[in-house]
Amino acid sequence: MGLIGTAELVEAARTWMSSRAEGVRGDLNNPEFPGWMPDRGFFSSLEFDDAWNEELGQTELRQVLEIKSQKDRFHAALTLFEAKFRQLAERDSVPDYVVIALSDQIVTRCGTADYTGKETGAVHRDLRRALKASAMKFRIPTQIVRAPALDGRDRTPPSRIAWNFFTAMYCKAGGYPWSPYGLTPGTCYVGIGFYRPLGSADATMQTSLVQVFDERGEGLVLRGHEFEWDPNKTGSRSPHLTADGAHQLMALVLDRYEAAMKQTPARIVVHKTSRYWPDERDGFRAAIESRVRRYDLMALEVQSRVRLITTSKYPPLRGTRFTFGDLDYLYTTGYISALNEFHGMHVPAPLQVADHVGQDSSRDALLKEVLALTKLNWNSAALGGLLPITIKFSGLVGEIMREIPADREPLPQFKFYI
Amino acid sequence: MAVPVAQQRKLTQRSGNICAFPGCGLLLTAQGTPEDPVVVLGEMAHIVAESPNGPRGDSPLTPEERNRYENLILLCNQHHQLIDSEGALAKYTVERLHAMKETHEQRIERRLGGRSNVPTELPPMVNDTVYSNVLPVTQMPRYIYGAPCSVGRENEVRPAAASAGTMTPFILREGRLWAFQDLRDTSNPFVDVVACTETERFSTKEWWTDPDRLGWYVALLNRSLNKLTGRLGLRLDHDHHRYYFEPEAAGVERSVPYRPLNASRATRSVVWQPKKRATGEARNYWLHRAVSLRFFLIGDNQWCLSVRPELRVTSDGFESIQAKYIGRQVTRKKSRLFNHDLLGEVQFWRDFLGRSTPRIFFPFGTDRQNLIVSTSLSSGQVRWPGIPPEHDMPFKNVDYVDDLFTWAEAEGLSEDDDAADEDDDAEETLR
Ligand SMILES: [Zn+2]
Ligand SMILES: [Zn+2]
Repeated sequence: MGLIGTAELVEAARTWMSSRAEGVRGDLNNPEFPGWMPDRGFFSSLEFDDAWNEELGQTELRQVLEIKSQKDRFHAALTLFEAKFRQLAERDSVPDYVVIALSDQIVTRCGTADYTGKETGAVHRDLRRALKASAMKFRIPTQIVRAPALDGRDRTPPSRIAWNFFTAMYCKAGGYPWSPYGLTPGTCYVGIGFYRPLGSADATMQTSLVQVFDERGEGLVLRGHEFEWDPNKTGSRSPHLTADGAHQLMALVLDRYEAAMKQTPARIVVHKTSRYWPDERDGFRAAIESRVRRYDLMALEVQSRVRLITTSKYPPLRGTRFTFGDLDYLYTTGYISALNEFHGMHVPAPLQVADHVGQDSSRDALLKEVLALTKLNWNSAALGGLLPITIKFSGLVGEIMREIPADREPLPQFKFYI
Repeated sequence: MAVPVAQQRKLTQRSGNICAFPGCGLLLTAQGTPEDPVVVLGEMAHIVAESPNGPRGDSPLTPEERNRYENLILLCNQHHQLIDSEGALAKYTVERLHAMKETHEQRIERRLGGRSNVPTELPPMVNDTVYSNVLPVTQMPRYIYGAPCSVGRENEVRPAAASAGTMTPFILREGRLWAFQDLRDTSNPFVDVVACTETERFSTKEWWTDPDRLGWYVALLNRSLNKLTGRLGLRLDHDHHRYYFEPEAAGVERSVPYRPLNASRATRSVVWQPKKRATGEARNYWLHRAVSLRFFLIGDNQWCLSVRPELRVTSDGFESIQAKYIGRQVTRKKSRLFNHDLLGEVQFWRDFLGRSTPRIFFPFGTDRQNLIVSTSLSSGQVRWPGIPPEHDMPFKNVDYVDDLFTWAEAEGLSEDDDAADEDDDAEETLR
């Protein structure tokens, strides 16, 4: 593992990881972290090597922090880190994984930048996302750690910090922390999302992005095409594809799936957070039907309008499915009877199946898959999330993708985005 | 020492037979002689002393509890003496010894790689009733009437006061005024601005199948909600599409009576200025109970009304404050609505909107042209592993019963939907 940061923080990060790797005590609400050692927990070992570290020198850091303009300071910080990524990547032996330790100073002075460019209009940038996009150029999976997590100012329970940190590390270093149960073999699970280019000038431009998962939970991230979307003309804030656009995007997904899996999927399930407009639906159908026999297009809407209420201290069970007339709902968060606890901090609300085209699988089977896919977030040790992995990260992935220029092909591996 | 054997065994096993004092690590058995195979060096130290006069002995624990595993810590002789010594009593408090023991036992368990032996089987399936925040619509108007309108803006239309209590919601779309009142009738409330003879009549069901007309229909229902809530004294927050309580006078808190979950009557604060718990000092914002209401179509002909309780925040009881300026505490209060609190809030709103009767009544003046929402929460039976009964919370006031007055109000409201179908075809020619 490589480390990037000031000499002090590199040392702090190394000490922190080494001590947490021994295991961290839990408490009533937080299970103990069993460790990252050859004989326990993840049954793995941490390997550090000074040759894999890149320290940020006092002088180069001061030169960045002293810059008056927020925009220039942000760019200088990014350039400084990018130089470190390059140096690491050019070594003979390259670490599997790089931890970037950010000081409070960097976070406050360079964490975000808001500026207006001639061509771009108003731009908001975030160092975390920009660093991910930059490290991707050198194929380096990264984890960003902030000083408060290292020195104990972060009030998150220590065992939870360790669980999340090491689980993400295991996944980014190429391991599978766990595998899904109940997904259908030969199925290609697809999540459709959209993002806007950097800056406000092109307010009507949108780019589609797709996340593709196989039944083992292995994921690919693909960038689709750019297209114009005017909420005022169309009357909808959420973008929808044209028939051609939908066809093209699904063809891309199938091409990439076949290239990676050396076979055509037996079945496709598409998740989206907005309804399928007729053109969109026809485009997806046409592309799928020419190559794949079974498919389902599902729109899953996050809503809090309809909720079930129990006569208990706790909300309904995670996994509860109910219908109101023709409307279908699924609780992906809630009370977990096997653990005898209510998971998640927010008040749970069920997902609504807003739209379903296809009917090739029973609604029950489709919702079971949604539930299984909510457990596939390897970036954290949480038991499950509100949204299935297919659409959970589309916002985050979009934020990183918008940092990658159109002429540079984004890497497809999911680990570079989380 | 009267520590039961079972308790002794539990303590030695959990401690791995090693002194629990941090950093000691002394193994508390030693090789013995053939006659006495194992020499036990460990001492079962009392956290709260066995007698009230002993170290840390001042405690409500009973003599029996003092000799249980929970009150014992396994130590070597040296560390036993240390924790009980007069000078160190302030340092080795009950809490500290409990923490010491817990840390030690967890460490032992981890070192042994122990697997929890709690059975992993699921709890048995049980049948439960679950409620929802959704109220069923029991009657919808059968027709919508539209007629050319001489004014172009909704705020220029002044419906004449119809018979007492009648609501006159309307919308203007494509040059026509649309309402639930029969615009052919020359005594209709809009007679001043519509051309009665050019009235079109549509069956509402027909509108529900056309996405554009469905949107108009929902707009008309929302106008009806505005009327209903207006009569109940609620204000409309246009930005968030919700209704809220306002103070009756500046700087005065407000509460209203209602029927709570489990008692016959109570009052609920609806506008208040929170106070700091420690000092009682008033905070610099006001909270207002608010509700978001929405009609939605759940199937071919079935409508529902969802009730989503909310909170509105103002600086002085009137001026709204944006969420980002109010800080974490209020945001948390707003998102911390747990299951049973939600039930209580929904109960409040269904009672308030229905004036403690079995139904919320929107009178549009003509027979079979009324909108009626039941105040019974939509509920269902569910079979699932369930939530342990120790978390149960009571809910007694599930049903509303008609009294003479509400019964009279409901009399004559035909809920029989198909009775008048035969004249539809004849009148359809009007369009
Ligand atoms: Zn000792
Ligand atoms: Zn065994």
